[in-house]
Amino acid sequence: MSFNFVTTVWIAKIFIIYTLMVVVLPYFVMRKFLQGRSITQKFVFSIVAGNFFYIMIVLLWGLVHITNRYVLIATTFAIPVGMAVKGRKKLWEGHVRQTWIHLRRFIKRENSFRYSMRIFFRWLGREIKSALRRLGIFLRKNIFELILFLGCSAFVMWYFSITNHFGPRASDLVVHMYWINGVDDGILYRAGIYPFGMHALLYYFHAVFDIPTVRLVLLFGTVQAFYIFTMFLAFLKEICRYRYTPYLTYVAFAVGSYLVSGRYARYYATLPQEFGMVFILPCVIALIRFFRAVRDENAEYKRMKEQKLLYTRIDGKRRWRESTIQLWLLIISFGLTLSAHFYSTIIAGVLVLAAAVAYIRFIFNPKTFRRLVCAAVIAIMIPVFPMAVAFAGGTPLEGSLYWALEVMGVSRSDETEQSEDASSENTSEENGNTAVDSSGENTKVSAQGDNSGETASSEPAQPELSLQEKISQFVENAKSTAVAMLTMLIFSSEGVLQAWVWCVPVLLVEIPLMWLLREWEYSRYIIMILLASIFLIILCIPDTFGLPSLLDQSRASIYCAYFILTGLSLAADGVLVVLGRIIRVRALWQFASLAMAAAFVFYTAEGGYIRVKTVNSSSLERDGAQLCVYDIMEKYPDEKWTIVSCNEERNMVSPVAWHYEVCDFLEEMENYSDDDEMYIPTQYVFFFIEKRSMDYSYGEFTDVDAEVSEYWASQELPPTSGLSQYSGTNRIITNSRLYYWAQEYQKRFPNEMKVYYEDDDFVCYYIEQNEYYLNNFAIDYGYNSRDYTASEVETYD
Amino acid sequence: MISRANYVAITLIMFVVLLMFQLTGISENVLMDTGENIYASEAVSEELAQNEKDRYEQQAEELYSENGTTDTVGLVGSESDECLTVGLQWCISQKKEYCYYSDLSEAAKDESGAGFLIVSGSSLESDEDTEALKDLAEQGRNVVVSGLPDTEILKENDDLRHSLGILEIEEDEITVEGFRLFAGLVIGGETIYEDYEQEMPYARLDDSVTAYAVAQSEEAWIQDLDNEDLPAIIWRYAPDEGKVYVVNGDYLTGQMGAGILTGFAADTEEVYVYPVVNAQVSVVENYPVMADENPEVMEREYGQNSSIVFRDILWPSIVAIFYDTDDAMTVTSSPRLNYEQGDELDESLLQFYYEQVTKESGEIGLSGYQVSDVPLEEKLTQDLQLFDEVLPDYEILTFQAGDLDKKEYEGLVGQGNLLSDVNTVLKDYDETDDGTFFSYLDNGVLQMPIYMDSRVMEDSDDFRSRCLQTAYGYYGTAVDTSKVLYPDSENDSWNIISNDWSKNYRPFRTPFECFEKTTASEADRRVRSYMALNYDTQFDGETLRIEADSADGDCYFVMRLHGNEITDMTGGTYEEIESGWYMVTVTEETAEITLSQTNHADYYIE
Repeated sequence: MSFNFVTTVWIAKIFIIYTLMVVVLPYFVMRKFLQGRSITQKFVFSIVAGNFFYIMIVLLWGLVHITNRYVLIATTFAIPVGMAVKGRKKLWEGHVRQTWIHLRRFIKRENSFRYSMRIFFRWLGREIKSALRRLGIFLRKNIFELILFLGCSAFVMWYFSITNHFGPRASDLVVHMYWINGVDDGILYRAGIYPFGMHALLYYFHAVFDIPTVRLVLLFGTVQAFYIFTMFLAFLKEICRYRYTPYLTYVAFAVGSYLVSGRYARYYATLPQEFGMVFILPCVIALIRFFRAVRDENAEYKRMKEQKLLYTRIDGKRRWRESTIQLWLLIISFGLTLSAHFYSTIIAGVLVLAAAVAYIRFIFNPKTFRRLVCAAVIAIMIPVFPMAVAFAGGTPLEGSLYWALEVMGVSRSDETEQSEDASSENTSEENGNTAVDSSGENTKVSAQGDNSGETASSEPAQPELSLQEKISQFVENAKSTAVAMLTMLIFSSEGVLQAWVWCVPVLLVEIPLMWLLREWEYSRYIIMILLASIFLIILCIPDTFGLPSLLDQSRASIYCAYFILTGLSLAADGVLVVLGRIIRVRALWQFASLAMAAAFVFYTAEGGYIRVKTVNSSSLERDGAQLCVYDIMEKYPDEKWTIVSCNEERNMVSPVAWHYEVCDFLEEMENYSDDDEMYIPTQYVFFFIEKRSMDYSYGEFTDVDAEVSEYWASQELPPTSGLSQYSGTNRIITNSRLYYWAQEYQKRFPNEMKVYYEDDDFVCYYIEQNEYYLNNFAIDYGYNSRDYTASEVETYD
Repeated sequence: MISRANYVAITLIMFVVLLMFQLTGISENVLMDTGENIYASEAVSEELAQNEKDRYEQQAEELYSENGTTDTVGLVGSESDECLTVGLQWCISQKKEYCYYSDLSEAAKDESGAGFLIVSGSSLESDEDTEALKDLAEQGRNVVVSGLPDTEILKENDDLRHSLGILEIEEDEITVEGFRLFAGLVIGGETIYEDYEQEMPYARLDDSVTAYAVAQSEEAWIQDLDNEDLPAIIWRYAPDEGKVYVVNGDYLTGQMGAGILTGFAADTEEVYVYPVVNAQVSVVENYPVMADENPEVMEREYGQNSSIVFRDILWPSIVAIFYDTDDAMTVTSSPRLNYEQGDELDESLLQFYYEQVTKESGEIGLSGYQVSDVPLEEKLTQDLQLFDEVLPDYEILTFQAGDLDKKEYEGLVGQGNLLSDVNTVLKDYDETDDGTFFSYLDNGVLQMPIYMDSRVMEDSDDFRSRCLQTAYGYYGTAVDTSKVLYPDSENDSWNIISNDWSKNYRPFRTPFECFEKTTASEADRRVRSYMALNYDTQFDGETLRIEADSADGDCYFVMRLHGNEITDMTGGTYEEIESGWYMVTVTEETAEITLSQTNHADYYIE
């Protein structure tokens, strides 16, 4: 069977499971509560509640080291079952009673079989008819939107699903696999305390649905990307008044090539930072809704007070006020960003700040302010709680946290203690992009912008400037840096940048217009979007403003790109709002919004602005190796096999089988003597060899011939230390050595050692051993008993 | 009320049903009344038998070659070496060309010579031998070493030791209680023999070694060893393309060495095919005895006279065991065991036994065994008289010679002799016999060995059974009922005999169920065909082509595959015996077998 097809099926499977468990199931559990809310609200509540629930049950059970499948399943169903029991009178008791009456009558022969069947089929027919009618109404009302949404979603799913290459898109994915697999062993923070939200969620699916971690971690990125994009649409729907104007931005972001393609690269991989992105916009949505609810509640309070009806008001203790509900949504969403990745929390904080400024009037209300402060404290406490408990229990912080702090400018004395994992994440998350598209990725835009050829150190002393000149110079400098950053890291062309820039004055003009039209709420949206865009741009170039760098420019620009096009929809929507107040025919402007969206889609398609999917092979693992990992895991019994390979497969197979590193394997027979022993105590042993080695983390070698060869095999075996033994030309040496070992061993054991899989770049050998009397793999294969101090070692030509 | 039409219909149906049931019984009785041996018509014709014998003898002569080729087996050393005798017989049975070399050096010099060499370990001592072993391995030629050289020589000669895959000689002689036989060398899977004591030198092995059998012992020092350091009994050393197979013991000096040699030969190739008989013969010796003999013992042990005991006690259990094991029944009757006393003999019992055995699709032969001392010819004459009186048309095809000397019966069986219809002689197995496993008497009567006692299955019996079934696909077992009449010990009571007989089947014989269960006459035909078979194989990496020239219908092969499996076959059928071993039946002149690698990635990248 084609592995490409298998991968596609797995992506579909993971997507369906995630959607059913995280979106659909929470919706059904909360459907009474969500009744009457918009689809956007339903979606946001479901996804936030779903993720929060699964993450928390894994984290809380993980603290007491009980994370097995059955506990998780029982906990999952505890709430729905509890609710079903509690609400039995409304939910199912009536149905059961009615069914029982019919059954009893049938058993007592009061009703004939035909009559009973007629009752049953009549009921079934009614239900189906009703469902079809509802579906028909829904389709009639939403057909154009559905076409737009499903079209864009299909594109997103296709674009971010890599089905022709199979290796990891970021080197730290294997570290994440290692951590997730740690939960299998009852260890929650295997490598130290780290925001564990994504890991907890993936572990849940791994444990409950028996999906191999390697499949989840390699393929969940597509599902994650879909929900990141859909959440963006939900946010746009929340702030735009007309139905189709959100699709201007959504199409531009999800389908168009208006942004630098490198900004999308990380969406291919299942990374915590991107996982956290799903929960950033719900924070803003919740905050807006909170302020809106506070406003309504205050107005209602005022009205009731005026009418002296306050005594009829239901106490806040007896019902959840809308503002409280939204505040909890904010708390949980913010908490989820923190439990996923600190960077997402920073961005969520920035957007919340922008919203708070836009709604500044409400902030000054002490009661509201107090509630917000409490919410902030709780939002931090919830995700920090499991980490704090683990820390109190003696688990140290994970190394990459120190690295993150260092990026933020907070250094610590014992930097040297940073773990290898931290550095690997650092390297890899950078490199994750290079695997797909490296355009503009690693270019740091300096404070002087791209046209600042002259550096400060080499410049002659500048004459004293007046304050006005200084301000003017600062503004000029900031502007040029921002433009440079936007040109290089965000927008794909000057034209797109210009178009975006033109949206800004439109929005600025719309603000006073909205005030004139008493569209206070709408004006706040515009202010919020403008402020958020400015804040995000500043976050990308903090040096220019003399601010500390909170996160990498390359990372910050991903968030900036995610949010920056929001102004486009809001500008267009604002125009329609203004026009809608002049000619008060809503259907006309609704149609106008559809026409705008349709025209934009047409323009994007016809103008060749659809993003082109170009996916290179992984720079971390050969496709054949990933195919073999999957094939072997699927076919061979757990713990009965070992893979001998460089490094990537170690954590992929760790929960079910064994891994031996090539360098360790070869080291055992280096400087060969008769007494050397190299045993691997499993029935099956697989040897992964790259016939053409990859330049680990960078792709393919361009300056050397990376094919296995006698030349490379005759080089000294790299010392076993970290990743360096598999990086650069060391990897070619290691693979060449293993290749010639395999050739020699196959010559001696032709009936036992066979080729399991082979393509142009990769070969996998396997051997089946007698487990009682193991093969001694230590042999003299011609390159392991040489004196490397001698001058006979050839030089590379 | 029932209508007339219905009445007639019902009556007719009832009549038809009655007729059907009656006809079954009647036809059975008609068959019985013929008094003929149901296998007589299927027995090999005289002309075919002579043709097959001639072909076999011609082939055996032609297998000797002056100059070896890659496919030739090289017998290195003196022709009288026991292992070379075994090797020679193995070559003949597997239709392999063979040649002789005086020593390994001569073999190594003949670079295009025999690809599979057999040499006695005791003949290896010189540096030339060591050098020759290295050269042979480099040339990709395989050497079987029967027994280790003297340990003193091995200790002194590092190179010789290394060329045999030995790192160190730890002990000159140790006594081990048994051994663990790993799966793969012979058919039957992995097993542990706990009661197979032997003395052997303890050699610790080098890398590139695959052990086929390692010692088992309860002794503390052996228990403390790592598995890979256990004293090895049979191993393969792969220093290069050519392999050295070493047997640390005397397993290659007897008939069962053929099985081990087959295992070695099968290991040298990715696909190895060899002909087998495909027959399992189970004989009830000296049954029935129809005379009332040894009345004191019979009365004491069973409370009845012997003919009644044989009919009412033995026969039901024999039928039950054959029913349970699905073996084909062959009984070799000895109407009397004591011809000197002239005890009363119930002649009607012969008719009874004939009917019963025929119902079981079995066959009755004659046994040459007696407790008296009358000449064999006289005994057989008396027996034949009885058969002539009761079953005048019954052709006796099988003669049970047991441990009789060949000279005693050679002139009594076969065309023109007293037992003129007999073409099969069942003889007791002799491990040290230097003749071929199956052999012809001069007059074309075939001798087949019975190498198992159905009552006994010691570790050594099991190992022998595995080796011989691997080599020949033939199993010959018998239970002797004369012991019931003339017991030697308490264990010769029928309840113990039948219990031992029945309990041995499942654990020891089920791995070999692929071989067909036949009567002695059916096996005779297959053995003749096997011995006369001429075949050729070609393997192109994916398809194996077998061209078989069989004188008598289907022919059978065992195929040993390493890491491959059969996916398709034309010109015959196949059945998996166990992992890597297949039973192949070739029904046409040419058969083609398509193979594919067993373990491989199922997925591909588009």
